[in-house]
Amino acid sequence: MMKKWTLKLKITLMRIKAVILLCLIFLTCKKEKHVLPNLSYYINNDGKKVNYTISDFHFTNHLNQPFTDVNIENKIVIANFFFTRCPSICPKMKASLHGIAKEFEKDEQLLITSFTIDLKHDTIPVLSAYANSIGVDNSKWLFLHGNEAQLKHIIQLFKTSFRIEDEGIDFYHSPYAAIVDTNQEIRGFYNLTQEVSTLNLKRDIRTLLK
Amino acid sequence: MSSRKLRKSFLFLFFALIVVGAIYYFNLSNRHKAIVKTRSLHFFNIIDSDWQTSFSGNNFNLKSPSLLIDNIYKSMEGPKAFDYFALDDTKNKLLWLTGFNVSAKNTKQNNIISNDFICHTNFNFIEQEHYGRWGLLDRIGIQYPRLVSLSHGIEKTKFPEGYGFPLFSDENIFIITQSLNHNVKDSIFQIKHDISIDVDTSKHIKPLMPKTVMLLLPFDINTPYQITSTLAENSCIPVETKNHTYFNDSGHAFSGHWKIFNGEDTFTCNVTNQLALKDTLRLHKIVPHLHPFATEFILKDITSNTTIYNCQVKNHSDRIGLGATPDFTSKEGIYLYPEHEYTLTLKTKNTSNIEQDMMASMFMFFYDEEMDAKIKNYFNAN
Repeated sequence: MMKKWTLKLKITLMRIKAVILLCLIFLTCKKEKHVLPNLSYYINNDGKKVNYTISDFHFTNHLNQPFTDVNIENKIVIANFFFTRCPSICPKMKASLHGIAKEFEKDEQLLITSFTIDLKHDTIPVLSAYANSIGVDNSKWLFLHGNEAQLKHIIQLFKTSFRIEDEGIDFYHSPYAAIVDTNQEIRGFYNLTQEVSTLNLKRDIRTLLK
Repeated sequence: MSSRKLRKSFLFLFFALIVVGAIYYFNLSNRHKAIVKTRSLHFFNIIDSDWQTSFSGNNFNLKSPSLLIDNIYKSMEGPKAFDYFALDDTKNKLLWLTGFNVSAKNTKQNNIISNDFICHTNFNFIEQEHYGRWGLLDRIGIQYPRLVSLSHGIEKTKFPEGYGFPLFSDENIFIITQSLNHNVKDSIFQIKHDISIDVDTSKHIKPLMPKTVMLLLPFDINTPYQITSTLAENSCIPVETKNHTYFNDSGHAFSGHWKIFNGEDTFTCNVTNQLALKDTLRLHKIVPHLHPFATEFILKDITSNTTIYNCQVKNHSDRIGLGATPDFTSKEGIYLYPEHEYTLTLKTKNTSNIEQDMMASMFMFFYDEEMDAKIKNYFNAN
């Protein structure tokens, strides 16, 4: 009798496992059809579309190496703006990007770039310590520092803005990151503090990596 | 360890996890329980978890995933669904959004049910995508990018004829829709929200610029759930402090979601700073957002002592809920001036015997002269 009961329990457990496995397969294999727009343009005062690429910039990464257009050739780039002392949205943004870095660890074509907007405080040693604390490979995620003119230029290219508040200790900035394709054109903006937006970013990374 | 002992340990751990999980779950607030429930039901596809969308050229329709109504859910507590959408991501055509509509449907029977099951449907645009395309980068980060909210009491609204919000067909908007249930206690059922956006493709529409003003009331951040004598009159007890809490330049806390008690009350807030008018602007539309037991909602120009808009609210007489919160529409428009001061005043009458919650906002739409010039040039050049 015990043997019969044990056998029935085993069969039931196997059936439950099979159902769970099928559900997981179904959920992960849902087709993702999404066309990414090209957002690397603006409409000028004459009403004409002016196309541009993410180019003509010069920053220094947290390893104290130059970072220019050459470093993003043939790369899919995620770009966001942050500062190391940010107590509000940056921790959530960092967690989202960390998840992306881990999920796409083996995809050499994907690069994450985080530009600091706190040029005074976030020096190269500070960015280096910050990068080390995150524990992601340097080939996957770079933290960038530039001068004011370059920061202004890159902020404009990525269509964002920031404001200095609290006498330079705090900054208002956007929770959005941009995705840039291998032609160095912006293909989307994603709110890194929103789970659904981060999921969409992962979907679009997969689309561009194909 | 023998397989019998292993099985026993596994079963013990399994049941222990269930008990701990149940204790954690039942200690959550109603709002958080709804979040956990909805996520689980959608993740395991126990109820329909997909959005359905269709675009006919002059109408963009969305059907939300199913939302399970199994409890009383006050404002901001009920199950919700959200995602990003583009009207047509295969084209880059300039369109105009001219009207918005939401209705509630019973999932199983697919019939329209009372709008008492709609808390709100919010439509947000992405500033980088929207202003970035038009080269209006100086507008980014100035105002929260809410296009409009439909809510209980105003589930349908249209811009005045000849006015609209410009949106490219491959431009993303964020839509979140949340359910509500003030009254039905003894049933469990699924609903969906049917959402539609009216779209116009004409070249002769004038653009509207959205601005939101909220009635914000001060509270003591150190003792938020007591009215202290250090605060001026017109202060509040917030519903909670994590959401809808704002700080002014002096670091004082204000809440946009507060409690109202039995009886009548009046709340006032100066919204001149929120409006942040740099130039004289022409106002064409106001869509109010209110909760049950609001009775009057007034926007006033206190410099000229003029009432711009007085929303006379209709509450249900036989149950909790809003019958109507009429919006403001004007084709000619009303001028608002940067040197004038403006206030919001809300009158409430809580006829229930328990505390209720309140929010009061106005989604305002002004003629956007700068954008109009750009769009005219765009149509001429393309």
